[in-house]
Amino acid sequence: MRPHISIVLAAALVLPTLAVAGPPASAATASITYEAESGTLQGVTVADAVPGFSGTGYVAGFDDPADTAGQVTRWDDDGTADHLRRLGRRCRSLIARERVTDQRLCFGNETRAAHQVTAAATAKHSCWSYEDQRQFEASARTFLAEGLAAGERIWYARAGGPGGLGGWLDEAARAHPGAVRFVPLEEAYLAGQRLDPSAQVGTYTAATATAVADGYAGLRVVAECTPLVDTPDRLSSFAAYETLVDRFIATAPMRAVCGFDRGTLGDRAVAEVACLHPASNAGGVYFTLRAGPPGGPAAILAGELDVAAEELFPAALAHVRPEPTGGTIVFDAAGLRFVDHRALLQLHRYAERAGADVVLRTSLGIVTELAAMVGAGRVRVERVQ
Amino acid sequence: MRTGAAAGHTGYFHEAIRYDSDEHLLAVVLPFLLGGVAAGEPTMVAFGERNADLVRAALPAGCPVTFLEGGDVYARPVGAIRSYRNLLAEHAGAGAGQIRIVGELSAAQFGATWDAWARYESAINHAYDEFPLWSMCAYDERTTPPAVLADVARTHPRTALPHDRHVPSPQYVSPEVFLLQDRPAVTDPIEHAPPVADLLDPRPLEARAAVRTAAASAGDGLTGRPVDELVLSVSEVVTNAYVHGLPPVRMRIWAGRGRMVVSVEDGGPGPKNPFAGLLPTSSTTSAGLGLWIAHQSCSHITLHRAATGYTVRMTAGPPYTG
Repeated sequence: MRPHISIVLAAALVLPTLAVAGPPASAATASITYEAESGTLQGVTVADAVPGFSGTGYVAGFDDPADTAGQVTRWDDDGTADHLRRLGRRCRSLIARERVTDQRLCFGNETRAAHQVTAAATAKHSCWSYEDQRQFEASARTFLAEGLAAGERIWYARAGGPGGLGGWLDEAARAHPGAVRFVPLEEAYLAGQRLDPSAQVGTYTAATATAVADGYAGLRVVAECTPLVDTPDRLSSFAAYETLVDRFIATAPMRAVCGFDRGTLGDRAVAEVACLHPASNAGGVYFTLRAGPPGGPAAILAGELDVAAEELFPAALAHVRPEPTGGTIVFDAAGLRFVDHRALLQLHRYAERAGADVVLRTSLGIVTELAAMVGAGRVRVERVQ
Repeated sequence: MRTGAAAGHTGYFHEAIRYDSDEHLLAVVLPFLLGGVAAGEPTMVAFGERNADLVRAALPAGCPVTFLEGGDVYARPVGAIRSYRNLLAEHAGAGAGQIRIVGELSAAQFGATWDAWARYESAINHAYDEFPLWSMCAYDERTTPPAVLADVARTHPRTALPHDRHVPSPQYVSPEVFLLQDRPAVTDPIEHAPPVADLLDPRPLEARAAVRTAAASAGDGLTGRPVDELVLSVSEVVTNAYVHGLPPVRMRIWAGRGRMVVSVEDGGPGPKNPFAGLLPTSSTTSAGLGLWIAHQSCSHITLHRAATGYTVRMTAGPPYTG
């Protein structure tokens, strides 16, 4: 197995001739991760360190206008992604603005797994989409080992045995008695042929409480969930479960990663579950829709909703099913960075069917006007800062 | 029932006034307004302050002519179409047999942003045609540039003259023809500098990120609402370029002097519908809706058709007026 290479994409930043001059970016932004796993280096090199930057890997040597580093994805810690295509002289002004803390980039076609770890580190509940099982297993091992180091109990759930992680799990169990468990997916998730969402959340609630009672810092789970979503029917049950369990994980001493084999499932099915997770590495998924906390807003909507979400957003609404309270369905949309007329009309129609109004709590400035332009009369905006 | 020069006409009766003195202007406008009042028609004036005062002083006391607040109605052409259509629908719905409006643009609109208003003047021949409207648009020949007056002749079917004369404009062309013609673009001086970003085939997500970043980077950068509006406009135009246009899609951003200009070019011929962007569309899948939103969301927007492709250029912040 090839070593993971973690690289920070700050190299473009240290060039002496930046295209954009201006005040330094605010350092208030929290962790931002860059990944260019599918990038192709052209005229640039990989470096371990660049003075003035805190990352652990860089693309260096942008000294020719033709130099590029392929397509780069920027991950914010709310799980949203921006794709900055063909990073090079053309786009480096974009990157220059991100001269902030802790920039990390995982790079290289063979190291998809590495970036998955990075993405998971920023959220308690993540979706990993993968093609190569060995890479998934390597990421899972890193993630679970972090849990052991943090004093957590770890579970690995998978159908058909522990696969390539069997040896490591045995070893870890010997080193940390009582802390490591392999859970056959069939046993963990399926009572008969159908997943029971609330029963499953009950299982994790109990397991987390037991872990804490046993003196662990919490429960950390990696579940290879592909067999649970391989038909539309199963995907629908699973999505309902994801919504419930996400709400539990948000406040519980639990972390979880759900793995999906996109080669088996296809991009569309993976995207449909990915957008229900606070963080994901699935391509083409730029928003998240999650259930709100009990007694709080009906749903939490974050990221960017544009034409790419035209099919996905209605599907996510159907899975999460935010309910009206007193005639309104409140969306906490503080993390919403962009919403287009397509999504507003979808919210309008959803509200119509529910016989209610949708309230978007957002800091975005022009949503009211946009809703008025397209006749999304059931969408109201409450401005929050 | 139609009255005056528009008697017997169906739909929009659109005239220009090309005046060279206050007397000339009043000689056309006063009989027009008084005729409307006499016939019991909704009668309105959308003039700037100076000419509004002139007309107000010349009208008999208590004359029921409505003076519309000029400023905002004519802030953006597509906003003007939307406001006027709502106003006209209201009066027509209330049973008005004819509605009379005399209006004027401000001289600031005759500079580099004129193109957008020329398209407005042309498009309304269609956009208001479902209403029993008789309107006059006043242009001061002493101060209006010749190129603007040439467009006035091409976009107004008739000219109203003193003594109740109404003559056809021989230069008039239908909006279907006018709007599809390539019109010369006025370059914003900030476009002479290298763009702050130049992206090939950006996805909408990337395009929005680039606009936000450029706004944050510019020394005298824009913030808040104008940036949000530009982000929305660019997102829709880039989406259109992919869905309806042809590759390659090139997007460039210029920033400076308190404004930003973004151009999005694709290799296609542009929308076939001459009114795309100017009028709302009920279809959510056509290019028209996104372009219509963009028209309302930036301070200035131009469309260019060339042999090599179709370019939409959007401005945030006070546009260059030349």
